[in-house]
Amino acid sequence: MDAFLRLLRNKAAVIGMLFVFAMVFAAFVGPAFQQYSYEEEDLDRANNPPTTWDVQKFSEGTGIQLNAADFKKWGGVYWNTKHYLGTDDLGRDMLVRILYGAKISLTVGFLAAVVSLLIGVSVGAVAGYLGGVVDEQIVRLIDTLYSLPYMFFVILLMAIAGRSFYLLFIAIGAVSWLTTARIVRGQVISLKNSEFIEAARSSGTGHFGILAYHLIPNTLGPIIVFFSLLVPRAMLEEAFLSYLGLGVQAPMASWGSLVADAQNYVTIYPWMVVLPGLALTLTLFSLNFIGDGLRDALDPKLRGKQ
Amino acid sequence: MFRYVLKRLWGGVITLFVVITLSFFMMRLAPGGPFSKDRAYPPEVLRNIEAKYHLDKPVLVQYWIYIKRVVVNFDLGPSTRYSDRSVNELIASGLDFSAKVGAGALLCAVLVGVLSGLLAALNHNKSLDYIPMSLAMVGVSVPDFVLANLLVILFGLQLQILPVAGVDEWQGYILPCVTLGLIYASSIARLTRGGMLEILGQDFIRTARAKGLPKRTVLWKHSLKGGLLPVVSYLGPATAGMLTGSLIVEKVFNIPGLGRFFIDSAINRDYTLAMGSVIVYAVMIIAFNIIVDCLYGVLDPRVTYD
Repeated sequence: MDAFLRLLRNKAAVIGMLFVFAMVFAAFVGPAFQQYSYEEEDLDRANNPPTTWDVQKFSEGTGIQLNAADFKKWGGVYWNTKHYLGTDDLGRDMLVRILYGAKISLTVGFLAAVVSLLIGVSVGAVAGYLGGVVDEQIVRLIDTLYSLPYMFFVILLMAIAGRSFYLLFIAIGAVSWLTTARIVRGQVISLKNSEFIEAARSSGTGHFGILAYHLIPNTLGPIIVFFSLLVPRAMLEEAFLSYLGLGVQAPMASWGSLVADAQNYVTIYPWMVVLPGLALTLTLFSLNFIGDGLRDALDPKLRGKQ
Repeated sequence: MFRYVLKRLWGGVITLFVVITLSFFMMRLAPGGPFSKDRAYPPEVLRNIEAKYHLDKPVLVQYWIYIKRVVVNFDLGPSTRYSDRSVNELIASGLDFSAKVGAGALLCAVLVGVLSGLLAALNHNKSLDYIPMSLAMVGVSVPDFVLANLLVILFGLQLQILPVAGVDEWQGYILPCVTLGLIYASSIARLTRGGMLEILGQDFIRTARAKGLPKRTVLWKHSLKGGLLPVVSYLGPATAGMLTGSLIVEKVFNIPGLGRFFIDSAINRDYTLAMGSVIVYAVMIIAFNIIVDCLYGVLDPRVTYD
């Protein structure tokens, strides 16, 4: 489609897509190439930094015994060759932990966005299509739910119902479907009376058929754009929950929980906090660029202007 | 306009009711109660304690007692965890800190956001436009705990000029307010730029300039009000976000605000404190949304309320 070509011309979006692909690849395939597993502890090498100015001074200053053989000097700085991104307080390799966290964070974000999308599209399409009283009531419901401080319910839900992995993305998805529903409903309402729908109806297609095969596929544009912005939002909420201790449970780790674990040591071992945080930020950044690029590419006002 | 405010207030009351009811029953649904976790009390003592907090009565009776107490006396009850203080006291003390951080963040967000948005809009498509907008893009994507830690590492660890924990001195407020404020400043900057660009491109601005009005008058007197409209309507959810987003900031910077009570009480099943926190947050969010909507009508004379 020409929209895809337009997307490719947006440099920021392309870089974003490459980054996300690389991250997904690394997250799911990477650990196979690593020598360490994500839970393998090496207590002799706990709290090792990825780089340091001076191995001696670091050992003296912080009291952590660094194995000088691990570090190679390059460009005036010592690099940790045994654990490229350093280790955490139990001696687990940070690189593997971050990649593992990537897998969890990306999966939860994606699944939560899918749940949100499924609920939102169903409710929005039905509301828009049926119209009348049903539509009115659903809109009223959506508006009421909109003004609820939903973050509380997610937090309450997670604190109360325990922290199963499945509950996590269902909870996040279940509170963020509202805007999707509104968008889909708007689209369906504007398409409801078009001629091709009339044609489908007169050829005998039932309501469900019209919804599933004609209306929803034609609303796919804004839905895709919104989905690409839902994923980073869901990831952010998962990170938020994990940071508060209400997200994924040990031994699973997501980027949010990695930052939370190291939060107390941030002034002493900053790399434990900065590196997962950086990974999360860059991924969100890329996803947002992709979303923006998609929105510009699919925007009918810009069609033919390039 | 007056009728509109009444209608919104009524809607707010209903929403509040829904929030209270949902939270109340959600908390009760969870396994375990406020006294089941710690020291095993002898059964007689347990019975006495439960009678004091009405926990031995059927759930609906408890609900009714609670609603009556809150609505008639504005008394949120005794805390089950901190047995010598009432929820009202605890929330007042927490609110004191949270409000200060929130106010500071709001100030920072509006100042930085509006000014940089204006700067970008007035220098459209020049470097003074791209630089603030790119920074804004980063600000929108970066999660708050990542930014908080980055600032802590930068200002607290490396440069050592700002305190990073606790708010015993007024300098302790700087980092939390800036962290929270900058994130919202990014969205505000983007909205300001968009709104101003749209207004400045309109015909009536061109007429004003053609009339020979000085640029300053054109800018301040005519375009600012209209350009800031999207910012004003964003400020509703933004303020709410700043009040709730302080959860993270309070955790990172060790501020004894409301967020801590909310989370801990949910985990400890301190029913009254949790309900109290939820109510306070919900009230603030609803109130700010209503205020902002009314402000919208004041700023834009085209808006009518029916």
